[in-house]
Amino acid sequence: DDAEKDLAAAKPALDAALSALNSITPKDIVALKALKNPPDIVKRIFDCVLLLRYLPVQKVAWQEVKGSQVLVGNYDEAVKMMGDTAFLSSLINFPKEAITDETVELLRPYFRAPDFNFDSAKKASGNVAGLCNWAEAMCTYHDVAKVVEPKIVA
Amino acid sequence: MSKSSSIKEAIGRFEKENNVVANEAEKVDLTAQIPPIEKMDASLGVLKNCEQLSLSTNNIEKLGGLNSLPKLKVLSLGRNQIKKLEALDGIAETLQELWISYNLLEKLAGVEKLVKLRVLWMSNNKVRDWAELDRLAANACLEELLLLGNPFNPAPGTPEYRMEVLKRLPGLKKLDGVPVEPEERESAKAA
Repeated sequence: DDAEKDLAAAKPALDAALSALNSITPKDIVALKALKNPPDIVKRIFDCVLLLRYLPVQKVAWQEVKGSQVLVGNYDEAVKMMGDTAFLSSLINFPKEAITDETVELLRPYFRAPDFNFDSAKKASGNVAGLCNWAEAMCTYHDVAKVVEPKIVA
Repeated sequence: MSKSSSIKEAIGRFEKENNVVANEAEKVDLTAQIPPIEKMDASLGVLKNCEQLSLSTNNIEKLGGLNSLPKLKVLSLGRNQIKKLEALDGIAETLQELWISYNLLEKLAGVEKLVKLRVLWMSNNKVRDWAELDRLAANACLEELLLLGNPFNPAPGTPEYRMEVLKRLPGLKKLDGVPVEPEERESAKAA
C-alpha cells in the first residue's frame, strides 16, 4: 500500500511531463531548426534530452550566462536528433524504466542553473520549453520508482 | 580563477555545502566542479567511510588516488576524459558498481581485477572490439551492462548485437536497460 501511495505521488510529475510534450508540435521543431544560433537555454535543454537518450554530449565546458556558470551545450547533435521525423513520438514512448542513477547524476548540473525552468525557457524559446519539464519529470520518475519498485516486488 | 579544481578544493566545498566531515561521509559528491577537476590524487584518501564516490561531469584524464578507500562500492566517473582502466587495485576487492559513461575508453584491460563488479555502465565510450567484452567474462558477479553509444558492429540496439553480447556474457540480467529473457539467453548459447 505504501508503494501504491508513493507511485500515486509521482503521477502528477509524469502527467505534467506528458502534457509538456503534447504542447510541442512538429511546427515548433521546424521553427527551432531554422535558428542558426538558438538561445543558450535551448542548447542546455537539448543536452538533457541527449543524455537521457544516450546520445553524444561534448567535453565539459562552463560559460557565464546572466551571471551564472552553466554547461555549454552540444547543439550540432541536437539538430541531428531533431532531423528524425519520429523525434517527438520517441520522447512520448520513452523507455523511462531504463533510466539509470548515472544519467540522473549527469543531468543534475543542468537543473542547478537558476534559469533552467519552464518559465524562463518559455520566454526564450516558446513551446519547446516543455522539454525542460519532461527531462526533470523523467528524473523524478526514476527517483520515485527506485524506492517503490522493490516494495512492489516484495 | 585557476583553470581546474583540485580534489582537495572539491572536498572542501562538499564539506561546506553539506555541513559534513569528509572522513565520515558515506556518499561523497564531487560532481560538476567549476572549474572542472582534471586530476585525481591521494587527497581522496581521507574518504575512509565512503561507499559511493561521484566525480562525474569533470575533465579527469587518468584514474588515480584510489588506494585508501576501504569501503568503496560505487564509483561514478561519467562524462570525463578517461582513456584507461588503471590504478584500481585499492578498490578491486570492494567495488560493485562502476559508472563510466561518456569517457574515452577503447579497451577494458584492468576491469578483470574488479572481482565483485555487479554493474558496469559505460555508454558513449570508444569500445569497438568484441574481444574487449571477452574480458568481462572474468567478472563473475556482473549482472548489468550498458554499452549504448559505443562503436560496435553490429550496432548497439540491434538484435544481432544483443546476441553477440549474450554469447560472451550469458550471466547478464540486464543489457542496455532491458532485462535479458531466458529464451534470449538460450538462443545466444545455441548460436
